[in-house]
Amino acid sequence: MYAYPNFIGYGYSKCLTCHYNPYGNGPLTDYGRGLSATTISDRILHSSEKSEEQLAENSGFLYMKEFKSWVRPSVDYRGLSLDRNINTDDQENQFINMQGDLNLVLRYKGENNLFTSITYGYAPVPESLEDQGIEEYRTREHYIGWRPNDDLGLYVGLMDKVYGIRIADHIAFSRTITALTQNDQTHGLMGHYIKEDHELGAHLFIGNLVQDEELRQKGISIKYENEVSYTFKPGLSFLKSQNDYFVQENMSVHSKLAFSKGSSLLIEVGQAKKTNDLNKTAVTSSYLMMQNHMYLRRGLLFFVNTDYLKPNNEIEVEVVRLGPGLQYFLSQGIELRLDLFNTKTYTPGSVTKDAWDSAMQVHLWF
Amino acid sequence: MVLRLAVIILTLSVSSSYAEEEEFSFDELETSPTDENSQIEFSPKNTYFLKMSYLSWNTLPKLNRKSDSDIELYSQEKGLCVGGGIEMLKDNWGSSFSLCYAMLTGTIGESKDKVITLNQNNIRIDGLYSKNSVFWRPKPDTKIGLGVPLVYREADYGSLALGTIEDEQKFSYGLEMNLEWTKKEYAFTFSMGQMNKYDSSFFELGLHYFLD
Repeated sequence: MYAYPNFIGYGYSKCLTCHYNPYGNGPLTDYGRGLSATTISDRILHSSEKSEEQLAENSGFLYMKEFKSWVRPSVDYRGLSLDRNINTDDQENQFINMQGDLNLVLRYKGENNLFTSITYGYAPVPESLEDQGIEEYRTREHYIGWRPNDDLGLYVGLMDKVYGIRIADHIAFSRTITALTQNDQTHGLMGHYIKEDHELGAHLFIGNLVQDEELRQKGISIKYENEVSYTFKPGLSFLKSQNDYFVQENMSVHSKLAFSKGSSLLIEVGQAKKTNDLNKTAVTSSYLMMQNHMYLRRGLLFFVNTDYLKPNNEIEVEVVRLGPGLQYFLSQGIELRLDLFNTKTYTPGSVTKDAWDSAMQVHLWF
Repeated sequence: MVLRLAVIILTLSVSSSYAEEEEFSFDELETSPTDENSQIEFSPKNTYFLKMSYLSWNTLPKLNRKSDSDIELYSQEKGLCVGGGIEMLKDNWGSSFSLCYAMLTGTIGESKDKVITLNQNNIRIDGLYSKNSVFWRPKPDTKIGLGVPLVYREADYGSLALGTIEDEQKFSYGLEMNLEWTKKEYAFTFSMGQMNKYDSSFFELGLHYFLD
């Protein structure tokens, strides 16, 4: 499961409140499950006599009330119906099972300060990588987390790199151009320090050990955020990594800003430099990610995605992809989402027609 | 240009949040599951604002050829719009009117039948863009609405050996969706819609500064 940094709109500016991973995504803590059953989700499927406390109590695995304190299982599924090039001769529809995971969190002595998280399941191989023999059933995440005290956490294993705003939209330029998409997890050691208003993460990584050695991106990433208030959290990120073929360098500034309950504005502005290690040529790209969420009623959010990319800072080509969407948490564990994407490409001397795509998504987690 | 606007938004979000950060209690909201049903206190009022926005659309000017029939050309325009407006708030709904002066640059690529490619860049376009919107306020600081945009634009296409380029119409109207998030005296706005006889949807990302 991915993180929802827009939940700063509900006053939750720290991912650690709801997730085992301090930078979000992956399994939810008991508190996170309770929150998703109450504050986040509609209660239309529940009788009015059922209290919020009862909803929270029944928010465990498969809506169970309690489970053994040392183990927290969960299942997660995402499916997407994608319509590309709407209203053109090239229109096509595709259904993609994006994710089907089983997760197990094993908690030492039933506490969250020492645990192991293992996720295994179906992960579709992108079309561009189909000939590389990548397994469709694999683990995208397995790591051990240890928090000796409230301030410090150490995490070792396979997980996402620490960088920028971790949003669920893996096609966002802030994730593609920075090489931080859905299959870019890495083995490594991540440290997380949180003290008062300051939050610092550093990630030393050696690449995904499943990959051939020359492809593994080895390096470091750092992210710092300052919680000015419950409603405002700006930050900075830096990443540098390298394999036998290229060097990746990313840097960004971001801001998470809350409005009234549920509404938020996320902005990340950054650049990514990719240097070919053989001929030392480099391409620097600039990007912007902006997501605005608007609370309409409990469980229902309207949002706008704005994605900007300048693929090469030395060439006057720009791409803007933007559009509205609806996100509905029908009940705990049931999310429905509709996205419309309008893509405009700006090229000197050439004009291309806009492209329209739509995506309907169902996300189930129990 | 979009990046510049984003940096401005980022800077303003920093300044508006550092300046007298309100004591906003989410705890109070979370312990109130019926919050969405509660009455929100509104006071009817008119508020004037200044605006700056970035907008873009595609149009279809016509090439009047000296030796052949007229053909339509793909044109893409983008740039800044600066102006002001007024918001009229009443209960949890309201309306707004704004007018801004648009300074756009355009590119003409190929003809619609793809026979002619012109590759004209940096065409100067001046225009007036008016938004007339009715909106609902789900919360006091957010607005979602529908509007009728009106656009008047003048483009300087210069002269070509092939003939002259003209806009079939300088005035156009359309339909748009408007969204607004307000923080203190600033608001971030997003609009998306379709203008009559334009070749694309249009979008506008903007900032409002309220004069209270």
